[in-house]
Amino acid sequence: MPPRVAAIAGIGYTKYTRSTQASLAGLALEASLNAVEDAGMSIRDIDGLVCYHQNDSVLVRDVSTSLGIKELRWWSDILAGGTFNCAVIAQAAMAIESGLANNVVVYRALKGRSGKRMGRYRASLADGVHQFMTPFGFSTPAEIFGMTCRRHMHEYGTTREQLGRVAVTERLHASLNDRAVMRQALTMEEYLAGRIIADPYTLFDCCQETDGACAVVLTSSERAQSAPHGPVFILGAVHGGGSVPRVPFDGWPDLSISAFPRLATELFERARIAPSDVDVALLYDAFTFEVIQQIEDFGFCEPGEGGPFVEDGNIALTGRLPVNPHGGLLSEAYIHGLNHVIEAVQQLRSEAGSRQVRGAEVALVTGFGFCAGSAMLLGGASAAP
Amino acid sequence: MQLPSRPTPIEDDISRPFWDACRQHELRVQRCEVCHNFQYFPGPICRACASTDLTWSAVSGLGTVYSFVVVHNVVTPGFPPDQPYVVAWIELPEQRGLRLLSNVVDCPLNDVRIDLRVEVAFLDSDDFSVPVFHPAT
Repeated sequence: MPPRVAAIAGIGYTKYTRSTQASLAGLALEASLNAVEDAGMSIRDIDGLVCYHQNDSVLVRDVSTSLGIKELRWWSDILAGGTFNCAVIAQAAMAIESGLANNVVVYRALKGRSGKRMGRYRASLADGVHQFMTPFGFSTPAEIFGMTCRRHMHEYGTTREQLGRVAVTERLHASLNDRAVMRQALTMEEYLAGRIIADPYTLFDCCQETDGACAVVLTSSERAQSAPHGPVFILGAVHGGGSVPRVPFDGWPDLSISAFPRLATELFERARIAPSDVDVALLYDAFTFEVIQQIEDFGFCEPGEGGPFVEDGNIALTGRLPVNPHGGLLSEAYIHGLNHVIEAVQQLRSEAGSRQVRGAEVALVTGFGFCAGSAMLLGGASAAP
Repeated sequence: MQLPSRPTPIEDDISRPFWDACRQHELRVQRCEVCHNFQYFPGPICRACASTDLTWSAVSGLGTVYSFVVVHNVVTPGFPPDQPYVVAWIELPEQRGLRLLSNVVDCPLNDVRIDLRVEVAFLDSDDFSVPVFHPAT
């Protein structure tokens, strides 16, 4: 018997907002039920459940209880950030491929704006590694990751205007996406006039903080073949880190080189395809610069050429490497990167409407954390094993 | 120099010698007695050779700015919201790649740049001191 292979059969999501009246549990349930229905399943089919969160969400045991899952066979709560958006899909696939579960719901629910805000909650911590950070006023993601952008600007001459092209392009994409929270046009002038957050990062370099939930259903590839919207296959996935896989990467050898070149090499080898085979890229974009960094790290251009690459229009919907057609974390919403997985699936199913990348058969999805993260290559129905 | 109420470091068995030295206005960095590797932030064992034979070694207090951000959107308690400040990774001359996270002070914001030569000073509060860096004289 050939080994069992997992595939994505369904996706679900809630409305993305800056302030919801719904509870976290309500958001998680709504996205999960939508994904189960999208997969052509019922709750009775689900025997696996997994989520990742920053102690800011609803736990699997509560969601399982509320959903009325009768026989939970595999589950996991993972304490992690956006770097886990692909790792969590890979782990659900591993559970299915090893026979621990048959049909798994992956979810992420957060009230990132009206509840626990990512940009705030670490500011008063001063234990563990934080004792070497907060007494110096160093705690938010913009402060921490701004260091890598500054170093890249120093090494390669990357400019504010190049960062701006990422923000402006993603906003243009978001204008075609009903789900996106930020849809009004953003001009380069407006971008450059954005108030400073943590220089080199200004307002429009930073992703949003939003409320909402996403869910994905995985099953065997056989069963996914008969799902109402067809299967999406995992061509390869990687998950790992470099020598200091913790924020703020103290002791990291070179702040202009992330852990991702190694991960990217492994990923393309595992999937047996090349960067030039990627039709659409869902790059984790907590900050504008991360798009430029990953374009280099995944081999779409040489190190240092990511700025000119975006400046030349290559990341537009009709460009050489369409990036974040949904508008990304910058303009669609911040559902910790699981919304990137949703968009990749919709692109590969040709369900993305006016933002559809023509002929999209291979999608790259990433969860970038500079010093650690995950990534995967997804393929549409034509990629059946 | 008197400091407003910044977050107080919650010291532990590993970090206490660092903060104690700061109270004496002395900059010490954790160092391995076996392979002589410096490491910061400190840890329970040497990251280079896994030895537990660690000590705290005084360093010159000189350094250069390796990278920095200028924080305008101030969220850390004890930092005045209308006063932008500089957080920087300061590379020490004692070992290539050895960096401390700190503030650059007494320097116009526009003059802070990568490779700026700096030296340590200490800001005191009631029960702890933090090492900060100003342009070298």
